[in-house]
Amino acid sequence: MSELPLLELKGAHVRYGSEGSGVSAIQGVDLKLSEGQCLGIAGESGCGKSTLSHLISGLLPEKTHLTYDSFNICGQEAPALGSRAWRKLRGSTISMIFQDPIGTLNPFWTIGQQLKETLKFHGISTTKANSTSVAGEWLEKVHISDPGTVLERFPHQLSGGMCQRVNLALALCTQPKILIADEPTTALDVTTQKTVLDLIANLSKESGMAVLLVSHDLGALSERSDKLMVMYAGKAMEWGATSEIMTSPSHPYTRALLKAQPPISGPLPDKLELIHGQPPRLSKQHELCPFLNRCPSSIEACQKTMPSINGKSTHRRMCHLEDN
Amino acid sequence: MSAILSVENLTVSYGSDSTPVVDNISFKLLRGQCLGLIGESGCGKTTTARAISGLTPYQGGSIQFNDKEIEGPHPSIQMVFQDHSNSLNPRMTILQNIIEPLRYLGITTRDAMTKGQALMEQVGVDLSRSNDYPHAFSGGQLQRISIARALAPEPELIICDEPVSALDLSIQAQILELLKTIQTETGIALLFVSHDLSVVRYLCPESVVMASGKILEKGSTQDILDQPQHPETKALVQAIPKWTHNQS
Repeated sequence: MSELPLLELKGAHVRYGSEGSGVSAIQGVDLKLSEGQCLGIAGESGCGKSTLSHLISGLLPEKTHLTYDSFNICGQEAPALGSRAWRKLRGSTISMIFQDPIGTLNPFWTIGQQLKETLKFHGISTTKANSTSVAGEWLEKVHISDPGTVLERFPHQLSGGMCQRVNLALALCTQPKILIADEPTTALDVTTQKTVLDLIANLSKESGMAVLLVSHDLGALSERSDKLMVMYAGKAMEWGATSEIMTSPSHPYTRALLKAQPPISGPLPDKLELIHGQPPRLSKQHELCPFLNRCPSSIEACQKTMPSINGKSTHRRMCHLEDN
Repeated sequence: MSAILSVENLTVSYGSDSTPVVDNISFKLLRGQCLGLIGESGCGKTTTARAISGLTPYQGGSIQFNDKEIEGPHPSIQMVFQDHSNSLNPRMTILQNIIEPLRYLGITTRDAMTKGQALMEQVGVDLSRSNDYPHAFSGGQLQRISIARALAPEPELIICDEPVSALDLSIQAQILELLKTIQTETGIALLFVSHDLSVVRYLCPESVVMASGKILEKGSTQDILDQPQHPETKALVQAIPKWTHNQS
């Protein structure tokens, strides 16, 4: 696996609305994604994970206040927000699949029409006969057993799992270098979830496509991602190799999150450990650690300054506590 | 312990379609027991839950509650739904929502209000917010309010249909702890419908697994996870992402 960064984002800040009354959804996030790699983004509602995936795919609303130190896609500087250059980049270089599998498809078009439109727009197949056969091939690649029939169907005639496979075919038929999967399996059953995640993993292995997997499902992330970033209130709290974070989390928030999930094997705890309190408001930039008011192990230094980034090179975190 | 609920040969189908969604299933729920009902989307678990609570008519078999055949809603069987934002009346304050079931039991408004406030305290919702409307609450808070409403008529059985599926992990933990505390303190029986096996394992010592309207197996949840008997249960168990972390 080469370490060529396909995507590099440094010092990103995103604010919706005006300063003071708006929401500072992302407050200084760095991210790097290399070829063939799967980077997981974990966190709870409102932590900024979807904003981050929209930022990377150029889908933030035009009025959003977005700043960054640098943002490169495949070695090129990313187009400005709202620029038409995104239209060429999206689909061909960066593809996305989202949480709502049925809602993201056009309800008035058959699956075949939607696939063929994508193939035509990106100049992959131009003749009618050719685009039908290419569309059918992609449905087969996402394990749809009867592509001929499915091409003629409308989204409402398919199940959620089938629709998500169609979305995957739509996202992958342009053979993108980066796939952004924002909660791709949240609305699906565990067995369908496995099929979809297996498909993404296999296709990434075959083509070297990098995957940004955004999810609140720690189980799926631990199984599927090579690297993991845990976000809270618009900031990255801890990031590094997934296996290290899952086995020895070093940020109190990650630890609390892992303990909030009932284990599927091993001894059952008498009580799940609860994270008390509420996440902070995002109306302004955090001056101290955003987890401070809920942190069970805060120390004096936490009340004074924003923690610096520390830890090993393979496992970083933003915390004042001594690493143990 | 005696059975509080006994479902025998229950069959449910929708509309004129003769294919049953729930096909001849039987199981028992003991007094004070917390029973898991596991299965994938479309397996019939929600239909089963709705038939027991009297929200969906059934075509065959019987549902016995406290040894008496029941048909239609029963005040001693209450339900908590998955969709917390749509399961409360948006035009009522949360206190009105909680005490709504009591109006039908002939309880005076004054008594109902006192009881409603006690329930709000029990489920951990701030009393100062009793006159706020559902839209002003977060998902976790709404689920607490739904639980308070279910507790209001002092039921003997609460059916929880995927109560934590739409919640964040930290909020899920809070609701699971709340249900566990209520169950231990009141001895209420719970039928816990979920597709999340780790959650079922935490709350329910015994479970029933459904697929395509039928019961595949029933027994100890741990045994189902360790040695699933039916191929479909095996597939379900194998699909769960496995991960371990340092609990210390």
